Amino acid sequence: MIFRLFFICFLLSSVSISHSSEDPWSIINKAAKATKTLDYKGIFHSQHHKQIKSIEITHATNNDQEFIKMNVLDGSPGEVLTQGKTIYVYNTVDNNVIIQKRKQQRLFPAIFPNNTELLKNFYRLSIGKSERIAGRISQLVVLTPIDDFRYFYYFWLDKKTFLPLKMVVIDQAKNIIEQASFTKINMIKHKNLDWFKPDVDPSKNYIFDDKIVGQGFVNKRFWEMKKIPPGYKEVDFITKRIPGLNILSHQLVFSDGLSYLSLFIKPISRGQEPKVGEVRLGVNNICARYQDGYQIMAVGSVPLITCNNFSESIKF
Amino acid sequence: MNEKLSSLFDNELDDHEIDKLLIQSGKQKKKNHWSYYQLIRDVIQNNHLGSSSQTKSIIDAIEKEPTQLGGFGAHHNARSESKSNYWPIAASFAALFVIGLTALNLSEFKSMDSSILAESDIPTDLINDHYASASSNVNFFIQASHNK
Repeated sequence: MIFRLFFICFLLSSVSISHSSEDPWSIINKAAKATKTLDYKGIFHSQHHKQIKSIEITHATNNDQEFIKMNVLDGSPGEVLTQGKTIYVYNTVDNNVIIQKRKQQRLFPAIFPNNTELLKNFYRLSIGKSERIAGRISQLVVLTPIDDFRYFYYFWLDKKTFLPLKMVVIDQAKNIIEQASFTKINMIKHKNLDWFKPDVDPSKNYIFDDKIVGQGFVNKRFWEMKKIPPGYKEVDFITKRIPGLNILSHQLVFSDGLSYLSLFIKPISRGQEPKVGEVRLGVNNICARYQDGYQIMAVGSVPLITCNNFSESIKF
Repeated sequence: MNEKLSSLFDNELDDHEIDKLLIQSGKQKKKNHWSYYQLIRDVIQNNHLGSSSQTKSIIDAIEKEPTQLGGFGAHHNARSESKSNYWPIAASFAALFVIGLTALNLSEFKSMDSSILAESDIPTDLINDHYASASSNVNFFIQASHNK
């Protein structure tokens, strides 16, 4: 009898150990995987500062390739079609539909980076209570920054599939910076890709704007980056020729996996007055500095200290 | 014309277009530009006898430019090999032209005063470029294209 009791206790303790030994961050990995592999269709509200828009999303995988279609349902029509790493944006401007090829970006609900390991060093993960979002039971997961260089991220992950159903970004003063939340979502069971095409309006002119964003061609940089906030890494580098001046301006994009900031380095032209200081525009902080003929501006939905740190990090 | 010269510098013109461009530049009244070339050449060769402030501003501008110019030279193709006889000369002219224009367009930054950044100073393009590359918000990702 005593032997049996010991055996049951051993079994229970091993179950407990196996449960506690699971990396709590695995829930983020599962969420990241769910955004790429699940087939679903839904509508979510996206709020950025004071603007709220409803967006319809359809996501499917076919032969290991992702197909995504997003439609802005409020205001001026806008559409995004993504196949693998190729993104096309369709914007209706008056009687024209402008088609643009864009770079791949992480858009809600697929907001997690490819390598979620990077987040572990700069955010603490905690599990909150269960809540009902879009008719589904979800698990609240909070990512709390370990320093002042980033915001708080609240995710409500579907308990069944781990798909993010809601996201809220909050600053240190508990102000909402950005949020997105599904109001309706259904899993797709068929593999039919008939929906993957733009909604063509025959009364509009379709214009392909082939000015690809992101053509950088500077081999050697004439600046150095000193003491950027920890965890932020350069994820993009864009160079553009300034029309009329025949000189180049540069945009460096940095991210810690969740937060993004652009750093612009632009030569000051004759008659232009350089700017210094900082200003808040909507949810973006903008920090300007002037050095050796260059206007440096950091722009991002990041804390002010991060913004200032980046604008001061450039050395010629 | 300036755009054509820029394309020449970018190695984007074929033989016929280069000939046409050189003829055009000869026909047009580009005396100022040619004088810039001469000025820049004199500065580079330490033969310039003009004002020291002008010399310094050109030298400063040249010092700021080489890394940007370095990017242009990386492009090679088979077609460019065939016109290698006069390409270095054309490229030198184009380089000097670009540097000259840059020097003249860039401000005399050593003596410039700056002012405090205000909300109205933020160009829409700046915000759109940021959203186009960094927004996680679908709405703003799409909106950023509107103003491109």
